[in-house]
Amino acid sequence: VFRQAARELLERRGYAVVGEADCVAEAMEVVERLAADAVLVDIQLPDGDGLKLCAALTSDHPELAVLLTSAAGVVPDAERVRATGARGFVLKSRLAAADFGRFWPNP
Amino acid sequence: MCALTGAVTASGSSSEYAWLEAVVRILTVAAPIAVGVFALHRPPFERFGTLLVAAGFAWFLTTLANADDPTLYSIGRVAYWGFEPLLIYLLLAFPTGRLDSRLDRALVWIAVGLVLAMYLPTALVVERYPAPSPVAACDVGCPANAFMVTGSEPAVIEDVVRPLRELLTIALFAAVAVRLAQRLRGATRLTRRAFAPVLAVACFRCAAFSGALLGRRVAPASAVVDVSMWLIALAVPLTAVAFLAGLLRWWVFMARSTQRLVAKLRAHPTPEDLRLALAEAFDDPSLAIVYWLGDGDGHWGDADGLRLDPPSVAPGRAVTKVVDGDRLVAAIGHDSALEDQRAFVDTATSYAVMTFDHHRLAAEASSLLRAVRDSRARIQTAAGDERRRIERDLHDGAQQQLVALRIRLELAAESMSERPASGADEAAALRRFGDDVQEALEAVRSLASGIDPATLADHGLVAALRTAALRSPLPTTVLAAGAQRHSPQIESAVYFCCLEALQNAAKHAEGATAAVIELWDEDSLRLEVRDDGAGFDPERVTGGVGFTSMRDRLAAVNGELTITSSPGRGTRVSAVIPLRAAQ
Repeated sequence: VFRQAARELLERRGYAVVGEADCVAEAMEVVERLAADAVLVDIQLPDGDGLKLCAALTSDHPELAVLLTSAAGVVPDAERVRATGARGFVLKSRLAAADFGRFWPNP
Repeated sequence: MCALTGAVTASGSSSEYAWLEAVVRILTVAAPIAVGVFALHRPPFERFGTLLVAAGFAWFLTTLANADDPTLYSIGRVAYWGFEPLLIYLLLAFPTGRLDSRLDRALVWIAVGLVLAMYLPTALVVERYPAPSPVAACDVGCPANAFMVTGSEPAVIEDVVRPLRELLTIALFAAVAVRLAQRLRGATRLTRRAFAPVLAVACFRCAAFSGALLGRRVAPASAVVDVSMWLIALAVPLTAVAFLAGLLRWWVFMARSTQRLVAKLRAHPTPEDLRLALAEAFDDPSLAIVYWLGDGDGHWGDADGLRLDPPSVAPGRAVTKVVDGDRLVAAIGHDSALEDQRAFVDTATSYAVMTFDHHRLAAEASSLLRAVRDSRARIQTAAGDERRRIERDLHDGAQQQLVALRIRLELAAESMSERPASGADEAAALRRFGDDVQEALEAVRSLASGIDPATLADHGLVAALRTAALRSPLPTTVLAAGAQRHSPQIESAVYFCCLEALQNAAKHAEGATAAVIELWDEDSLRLEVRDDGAGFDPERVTGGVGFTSMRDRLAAVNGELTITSSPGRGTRVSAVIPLRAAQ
């Protein structure tokens, strides 16, 4: 449900959404295959920790712009976010109001 | 009788110390009778007391041997022959007054046989009795035998009968002395206390008697023989006095034992404490207690239910049954010297009843307590699982849908405002819907994290508490030094308590400007939530649902809650949860 809304939002903001994944393993594969420039990562994933996924992605692809998001609860402290190589963190409920230009290359 | 003894002795003696001899002879009669009468009503010495009185009377007859008159003198001398088997019986039968072994009975019968066969018949044929003797002070000037019926003494008496009977008598008394020495050595520490004086005197007396007879044969006129004859005579009252001394020592020991026992036992002795204390206090190391387990058709065992044999009655041992009302409680195996001793039986049985009942109640209570604790832990675990399931449902379902709805409303509002046909009013309305959704989202989120946040399970206590602190209306700092992960039960309980305390601080602590949550991990997990609010008087504010449920959650993980507060000094809620203890 959220992914569908997020796709609409990103497309509206002018980004081309080239792929989706619903777990850590698929995300790694999709990013690799589609040579994405930017990724939106939920830190609460069914099969693992989004923060770890983010760290893995940025170490494989240093140029990749990762934005972390989450529905509830965890507001990871800035230091942890930086340690994963992510560009930033935005709560899901604030995504619509977020300025993606701060984190991602312009579309 | 004593007067008669005194008169006979004083009149018969030619020595200048006649009065002294008289006094000593009186003592030898008076002491055994007095002590015997004293023991007549003291269990377990009634029989021995009777024998002692009888010995005193028999000894009285022997003092007639101090008379000048040949008839009285002869009665005394013959009575003395009869006295010695009685004395052997008395000594070997100590302290029960009964001859327990066949060997002892045989020794007494040999003594009787010897007197009947080789002593008494000679009274009819000898001119004089052998001198010196333990019963007569005379030496050379003794009266003649009044019972002589023949004209002259047959040579066979002096040549054969006398040496032979003295040899046999020496052997007999040596054997009795050995038996008594064996008894002395075989006595337990406990019984030696009471019996040693008598056995020692008796053993010495029998050995001395053998020695004196031997001495009279070898050197009849020597001073050594004279002195030892007096010693043998004095050994009779000395036996009585030794018996009295043993009796007194025994009573003192029993009284002290009871005191020692009381001093040794703690308020609630375990069964083993009690056994050790009884064994030490009454000086009976092999004392054993077995308990009767189950009521009607039960069995013997230790206090913890392990099956044991009932105490057996070995020689020298006795068993005292402990009964409370008409309920059989226990059996105590102990030294037979303690049998029927009030001081021992009363204290040992009452302590056994008390200890056993206390032990059983304590065991029942602790098993109940364990069951309650287990069931509380199970309930908390089940409740925790249920809370986590609800939280996941809220997170994965309602929350995600609300987030998506919020994004779509925003996008719709953007589309709306781009179209000139429809107005900015509709866009503003959609944005307001978006704000409503945002509020609903916040409500669901705080509901979910209040129940049991996923953060807690995924990222641990510190992360979850930091998130909770961000949401708290009261500025809150989380201090955590080396906080590790713990079992879900512990983390959940601690999180719940911190949140509850934080909510209390936000709601009730008037004037509070800040709160601090602090966590330490050591041997135990400690938490503290404090605020700088108005505080309250713990005397007047008793519990409330919040504190009660905090205590319940903590108790399920063996934790304890302390709340300190006083008006004007803020509130401090702290808890300690042991980590090493078995969960």
